[in-house]
Amino acid sequence: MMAPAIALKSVAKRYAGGRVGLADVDLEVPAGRFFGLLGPNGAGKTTLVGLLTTLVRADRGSIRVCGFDVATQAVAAKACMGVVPQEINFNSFEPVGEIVEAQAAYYGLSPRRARERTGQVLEQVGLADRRRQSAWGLSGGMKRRLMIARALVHRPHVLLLDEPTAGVDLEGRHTTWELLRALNADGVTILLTTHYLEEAEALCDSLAILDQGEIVARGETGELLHGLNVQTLVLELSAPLDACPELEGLAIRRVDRWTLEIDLPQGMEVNALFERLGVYGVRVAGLRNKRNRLESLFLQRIAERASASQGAGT
Amino acid sequence: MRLAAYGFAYRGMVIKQVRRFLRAWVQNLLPSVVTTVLFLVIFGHLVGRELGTMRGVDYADFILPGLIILAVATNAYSNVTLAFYGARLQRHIEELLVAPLPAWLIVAGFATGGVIRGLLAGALVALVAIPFTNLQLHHLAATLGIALVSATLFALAGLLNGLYARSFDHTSVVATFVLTPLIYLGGLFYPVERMPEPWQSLAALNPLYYMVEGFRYGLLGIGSFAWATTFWVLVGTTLVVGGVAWTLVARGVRIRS
Repeated sequence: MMAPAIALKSVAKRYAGGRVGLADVDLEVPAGRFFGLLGPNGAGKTTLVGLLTTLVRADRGSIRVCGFDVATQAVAAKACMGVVPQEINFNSFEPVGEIVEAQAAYYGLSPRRARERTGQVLEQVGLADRRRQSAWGLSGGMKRRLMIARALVHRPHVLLLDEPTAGVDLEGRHTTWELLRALNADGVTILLTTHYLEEAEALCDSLAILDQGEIVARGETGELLHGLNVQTLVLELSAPLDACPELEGLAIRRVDRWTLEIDLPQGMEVNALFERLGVYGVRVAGLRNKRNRLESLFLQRIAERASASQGAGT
Repeated sequence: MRLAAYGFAYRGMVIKQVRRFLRAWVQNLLPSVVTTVLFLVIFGHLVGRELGTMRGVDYADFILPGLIILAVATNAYSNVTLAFYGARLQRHIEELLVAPLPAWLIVAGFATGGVIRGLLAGALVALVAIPFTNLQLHHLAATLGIALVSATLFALAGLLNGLYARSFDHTSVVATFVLTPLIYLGGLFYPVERMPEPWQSLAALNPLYYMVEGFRYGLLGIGSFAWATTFWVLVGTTLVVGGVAWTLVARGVRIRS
């Protein structure tokens, strides 16, 4: 049986001062997956990436990447990983090409191969024409793409991306998505942390939600979304409405004369909703989710956890 | 295979370090040259004429070995201190920490950058001293050996400074308040045997005294003791400092959470 690309077993990390980074986390990401890691600020996402890359040291537990233990076989484990950190962490005074070529050398590529690969990855991320330019002059989005190029230069089997599209414009974000999809299709396992939930929903085939260092939900993306208790729909009406209709078992709010918000419970079909609204003469011109579905799931799980903690505390 | 990969990685690190200090060569290499010229003109010639000879050589010739080794040591030290502290501050040390590099290779890469800058600064100082002194080369192996091991020792010490520095102020504190005084009190400008007690006895405890005397022997053939003693004392100290640097980097002190 093939070893999972990433495997964490009972991993715990507590920082100086007592802040919990991770609390006994078990997680497996099979090879070839596009895995999303979500959570509010301070949930432990960056800690988890740091533990995989050895930038953060675990208090206990075992961490394996490509089957290698990151504590005892760090060189082998790191050789199969590419890392795109959350913060810009290259020397901005250096030219773009030198930054990528140096990283290729650190991964053991010969100077000739390093130059070739640098050209290829800069082409892939759309920075080929900036090769000789100082990184100082790049825009925020370009700097992000440079970090992706740097992480890809040694053809990693596992790519760790910690909020790779933060601050990237819409076009740049979609270009990055296409690149990541292509890499994943080529067999690269990707672990992505992001605050853009639509990004996770669009890219990831499986997900975990972290909160206060613990995993509060995990599974296939579709399966998790199917388990959403309630989704809020925004209905744009064909004709103005003076009073809010009342339907048994449904929470309906009138935003204005032309707009309604309805919390649709799990299991209820939209067709059935339209039929019931039709009885009251309400005609719907347009429909959208108030929140991204993943955002709803995310908020639901965080709220469930908060109320569970409150219950345990009383 | 792994050895070749380490070779490429080492080459990459050294190129990066050398490019770093060459990008600002005026700031990094010229100050030592200017200081030496001033020392040689003012102390070597103007004051030195009044002083006569020291251990049988002109005063300018007597102080030159100390000035060269001072340039080697301080350049090697400050190069690695600033490079390592800068890498921590801007977080590009992470480029190395996430790569499949053992700690000893990271230490070697930074230290080599410092050694190259130290030796380059020393060579430049020697070059500009030619018009002012009767530059000799009495013992090639002693001269090169002591210069190389001194540069390595100070580069590794600089890495420790870079590792522990919490601000830019901390990167210059040791060089300014510890190393330079120790070199000045280590017989750079005068023979230690002419100093009154307790300074003479204290000088014997100053490791930099041995470095200056050993290097002076290499260039001029005059010194208080065998150059080989100096060389091996420096090699031993370098191994200890290098061992400490390797251990701290391997444990991730100040560079991993």
